[in-house]
Amino acid sequence: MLFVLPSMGILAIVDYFYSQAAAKSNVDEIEAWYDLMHGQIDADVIVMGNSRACFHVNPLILDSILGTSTYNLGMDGSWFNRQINKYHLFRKYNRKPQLIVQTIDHLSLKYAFGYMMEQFFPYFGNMQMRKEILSQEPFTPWEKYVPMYRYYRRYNFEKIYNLLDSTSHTLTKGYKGVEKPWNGAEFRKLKSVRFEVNDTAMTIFDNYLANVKADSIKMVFVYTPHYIELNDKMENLEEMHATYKSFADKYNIPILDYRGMAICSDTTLFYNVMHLNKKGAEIFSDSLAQDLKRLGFLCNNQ
Amino acid sequence: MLFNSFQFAIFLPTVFLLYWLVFRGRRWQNLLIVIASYVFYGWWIWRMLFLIALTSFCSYVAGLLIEHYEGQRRRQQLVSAANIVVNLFILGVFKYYNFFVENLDALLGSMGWHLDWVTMNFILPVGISFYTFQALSYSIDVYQKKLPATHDIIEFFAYISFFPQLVAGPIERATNLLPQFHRSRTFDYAKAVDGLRQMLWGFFKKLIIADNCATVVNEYWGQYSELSGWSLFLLGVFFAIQIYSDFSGYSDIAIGCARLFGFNLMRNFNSPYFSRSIPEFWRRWHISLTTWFRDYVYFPLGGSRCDKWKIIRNVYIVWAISGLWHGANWTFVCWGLFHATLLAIYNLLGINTKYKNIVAYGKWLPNIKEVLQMSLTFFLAVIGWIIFRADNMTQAVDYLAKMFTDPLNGRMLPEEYHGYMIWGLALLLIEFVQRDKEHALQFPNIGLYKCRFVRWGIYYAILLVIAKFAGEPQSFIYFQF
Repeated sequence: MLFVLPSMGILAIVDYFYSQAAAKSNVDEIEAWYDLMHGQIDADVIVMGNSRACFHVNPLILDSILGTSTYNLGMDGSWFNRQINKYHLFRKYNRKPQLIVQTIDHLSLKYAFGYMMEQFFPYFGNMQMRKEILSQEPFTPWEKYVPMYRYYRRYNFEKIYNLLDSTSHTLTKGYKGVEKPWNGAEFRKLKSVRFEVNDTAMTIFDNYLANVKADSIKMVFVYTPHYIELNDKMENLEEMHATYKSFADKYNIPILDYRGMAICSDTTLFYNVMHLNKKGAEIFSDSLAQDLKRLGFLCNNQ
Repeated sequence: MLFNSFQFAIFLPTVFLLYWLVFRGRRWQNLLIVIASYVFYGWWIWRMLFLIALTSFCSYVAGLLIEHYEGQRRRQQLVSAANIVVNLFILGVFKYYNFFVENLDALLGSMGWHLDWVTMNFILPVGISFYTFQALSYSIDVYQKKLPATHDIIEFFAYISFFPQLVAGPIERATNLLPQFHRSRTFDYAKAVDGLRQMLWGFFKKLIIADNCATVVNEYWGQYSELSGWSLFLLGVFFAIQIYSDFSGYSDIAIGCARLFGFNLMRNFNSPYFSRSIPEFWRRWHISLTTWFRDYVYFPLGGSRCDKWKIIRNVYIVWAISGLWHGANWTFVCWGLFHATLLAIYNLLGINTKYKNIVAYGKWLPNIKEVLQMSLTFFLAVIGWIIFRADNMTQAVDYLAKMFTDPLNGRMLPEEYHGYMIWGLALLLIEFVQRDKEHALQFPNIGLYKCRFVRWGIYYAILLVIAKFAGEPQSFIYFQF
């Protein structure tokens, strides 16, 4: 007891202060949570989705065209189950938006955890985070309940220091513009690509849409641009279209499809087959904002 | 429930506090041990509790009947035999049923008959080989009048199910452990602290050495045909280090944990890789099992008190059974027979009883002869472990053939794994330095070790190493037995 209890006590105190500081870090997607968890998102429009939301939709462009405030809650490397958990946390700490721009694609309705789990490290002391996310992510009990263990186990000392040192912003209202050159090599190695569906993810998605409708929040589905080569390799494109259309019809959600934009054949606007680079994202965001304005989704621009 | 699980980290302090602060008195403490042990064991599959309860009950009743039939030796013999048959039958069904059916099917298949429809999906209850032998030890000892039958069923159930040693030993003798349940226990601070140290060392061996070596072995064993002979030998060495660290680590945790509750379990490993001969190796490896077979199989067969060829026959019988005890696979039987052959050779040379003291006893370092002897013994043990680890005899033969005939052709193990070998060598070095101690963290009460902060510094350092470098979680190897 003399050995264990004081150690745990000291570690708990260190963990509390370290996590407070680490929450401001821009390492490992931690930055994407700060505004949300501190109730600093004051937005009429939020963007939901995976990396194609996070890297494709520039909120500043939507703000300037729609005359409102937009925030991007897109999650890099995360499938729908994680996105919905982020949405729940967003609603707990921030006001209700008027419109949700929900990006959809062939990977959205998968159900998986475990990628980039470090982004949740600073929030292990937050009960809502524990309930929504930590209870489902594959953290070991040691990581969940022993103070500082998760940092010590997964990071080297340099990174533990860098977490406190790297506080410059890399995200703009949740959006990350990527400036990388085109690389289609990895995708070309793939023989085919499939729309993958998981029954649990479908159920969660359905419940999410029902809750959004019950909350009187408008929603629009958006197929964001991808490089045209993807169309040739997609095996079950019609199944994907039919699935999302069935949800759209059920909840009266319009679908905006940007996969046929002229930019989709221009490799200077993509950094890989699935993702626009910063310049491409700005062009797409402009088109999206113009269409949202024209369709009059928001009360203040009708 | 695994020792290296979070649940155990909650379970152990809870039981410890209840044991010393709430359940005061011998009977209440024994009851708590039974409850805690059944919770511990039932955490895996609660249905298996019926088996351990049945084994315990049969042996308990057998003890009472043997006592009841005092003066009627024939009846006592029948009761003891019946208990042995019942317990071995249970063990046989769960552990060996499919093995025998599959081999019988293979044999009859050559005549056109098939029995594959008779195989069944038995889940092997964890620890069944261990607690069955422990139960048998009791009834045989009562029959041989080495100890009286116990009339306290709680005491007996506690003896069989005692959670620190329930699933992977040491296989305790009733003459050692049962009387400890009959005595009152008082808290001994020094004993508890030393027990914790022993547990810490056990965790280090298991989580750092064994689990990291397991990563290498599990990844490359299946690719053995592509590796060079030298790499195959290294892989065998990794497995030798893995199985020692895993099993002796578990034993250290079990023994240390028992000491927290005031119990002394028998030592199970005594620096076996510093043995100068195979017979000495077997006096230092899994001591509880080898002495069990010596006392309950070898001696009743005549032991060493017969002519040389009967002695060798007895050795082969014991080691065939010992091999089979480890699992339902011909590789285990062949491993047992391999060691039986080595033991027979040492016996014929008349050097099987040499080397009772630890190597370099009273000295700092071994001499050249001792180093060569230890190297040869370790080499022979590695050969045995390769047979032991193989999935089947074909693989074992292929592996060994390639290892000896093709040392340089083929892939080498990646250099990144050489670091794990250094961990293993560091372990052996520490254990060599502390070879005359019960465990490597038994500090002498002199010099810097007297200072609490020095000792705590060592504990923290070990904990930090475990927290940072623990390998991917692997179950304890001997759980499968």
